[in-house]
Amino acid sequence: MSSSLAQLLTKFHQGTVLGPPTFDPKGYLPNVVVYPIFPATLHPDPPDMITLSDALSRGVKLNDTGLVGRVHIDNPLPTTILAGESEILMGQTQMRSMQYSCLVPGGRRASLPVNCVEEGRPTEYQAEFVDTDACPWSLRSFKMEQLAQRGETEQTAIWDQVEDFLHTANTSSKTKDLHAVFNRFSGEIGSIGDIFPHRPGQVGAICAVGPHLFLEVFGTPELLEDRYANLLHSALVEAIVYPGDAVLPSAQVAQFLPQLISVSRDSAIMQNRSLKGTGRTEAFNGQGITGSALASDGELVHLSAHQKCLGRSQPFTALRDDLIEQQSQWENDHSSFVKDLTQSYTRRRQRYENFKDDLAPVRNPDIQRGAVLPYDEMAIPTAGHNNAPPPPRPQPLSKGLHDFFLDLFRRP
Amino acid sequence: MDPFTSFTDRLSAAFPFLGLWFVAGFAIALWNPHPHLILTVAAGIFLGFLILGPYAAAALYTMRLQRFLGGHLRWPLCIILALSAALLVAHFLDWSNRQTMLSGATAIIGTILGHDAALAVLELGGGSRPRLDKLMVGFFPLLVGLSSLAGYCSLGFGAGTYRFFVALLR
Repeated sequence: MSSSLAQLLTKFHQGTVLGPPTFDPKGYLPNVVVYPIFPATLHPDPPDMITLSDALSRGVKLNDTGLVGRVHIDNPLPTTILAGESEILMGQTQMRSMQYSCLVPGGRRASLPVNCVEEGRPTEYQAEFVDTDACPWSLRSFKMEQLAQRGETEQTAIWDQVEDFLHTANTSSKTKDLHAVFNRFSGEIGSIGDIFPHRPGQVGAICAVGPHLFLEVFGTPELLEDRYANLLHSALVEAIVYPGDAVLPSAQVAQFLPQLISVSRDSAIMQNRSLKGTGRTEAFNGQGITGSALASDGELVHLSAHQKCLGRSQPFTALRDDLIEQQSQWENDHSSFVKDLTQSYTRRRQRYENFKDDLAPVRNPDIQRGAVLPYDEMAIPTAGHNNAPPPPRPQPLSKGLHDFFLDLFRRP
Repeated sequence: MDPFTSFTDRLSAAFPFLGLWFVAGFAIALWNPHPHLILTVAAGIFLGFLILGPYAAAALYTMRLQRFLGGHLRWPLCIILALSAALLVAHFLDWSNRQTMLSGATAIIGTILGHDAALAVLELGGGSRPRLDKLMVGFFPLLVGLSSLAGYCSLGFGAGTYRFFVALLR
């Protein structure tokens, strides 16, 4: 099972080209370097799949169940939707974040596994989620680690993590809403986002932020383009919240995918009964790497991973000249590749836009007569893990005292 | 408390807490100036904080005892652990009833502080970005014990200073 994920990732790695380093040439943002990932070859046909945010604007309903851990999706479109790992779901109810990536086929209803990222707000039964946004990598990495180790996430730990991140970001939110961090830094993120533009045909990126590497890859460049802002914002918010002047060198970045493949050999499978047979998500953890990958029909659909490389970052000023040289060298060596890829992708993108424009909800007679079971229950048992209940979470004797010590012992 | 503050700022923010221990030491000096009581309090709080509390937390969460009593086992466990430790020491050192009761009470308070402090240390020390101030973790329990001793000493110091100035003015 797990070795098939490693084989899939190896195939993916062999079929991609790591792009040139992109960074702030003025050095105002010295702790971020972004490396785009390109496909070595591009199939002429665009995908018949759209992102969740696109789907929500085209008639897909995403409703609160009143339960913290799940939301219901009703996809009346004749196409598959990718609900990406950790995507933040926003509406007139408690904010949620996807636990892991899922595919929702056309004409299907399903339960999606989520976590609450707004502890101070109650759930509103049947309230609609209307928008999605990025999730900081601090939380994404934490969730993936939990999924890989235990096969599920622990909500109280997620709340603690959100609270911790808000503290670190010096952001106050009455409802402990994770998105408050993006609201606070929207100006900065928007302005520095322009330094790292999307490149035609790109399928993913590795963001080196301080001593961390954040990887996000999609099976097709169209999905990446539609999710590119979120990909970037997830990493940039980390760069702002944890400022610094050091970043990992290119050599470390180049080793990331091979190391990730090695770690992915021991993975846990996430199972969603209501989406059985629509793709398989596996989470893995080890050697400082945490990640999750969604595959369908032997193809990689979405991969997210984080690697901690503490102590291996170097001052940006020391790396700057090398990065400039690598950038110009790559552009010279790959000029014809980039030109061909841009042309192929432009054609594909046009066809993909036409495909999306033609999408409209269709009536599903099976759903209406009850032949399709609505919102089956989910189960999240995982291969390679026992089904014992998770150990109880430590509880303080006094919440006030515990908070006092958290503040007292937290180093700036 | 702002989490971005320096060591000194965080310590200053803990002054009201340390002040309580200072007042407790002062009150003990008023009640019974014999040093064995204040030493019992200082040692009880210091050892409860550093040893009994973290030990209770470790026993509860590594042995998965937390699930018993609907998740409320931590309270009786901390109290029983502190009291039994105090009784054991009292037996071997042949303490008076008053000293035993005082040591039991301070050991309970110390254990409660130590338990919650241990959880905070575990939370801050784990995860992808550990942010634990180890210096503060080592220093703070010592400061709590020293604050009570300082409160105790300040009564004698204050009385001595008062007598000194009175004698000087006469």
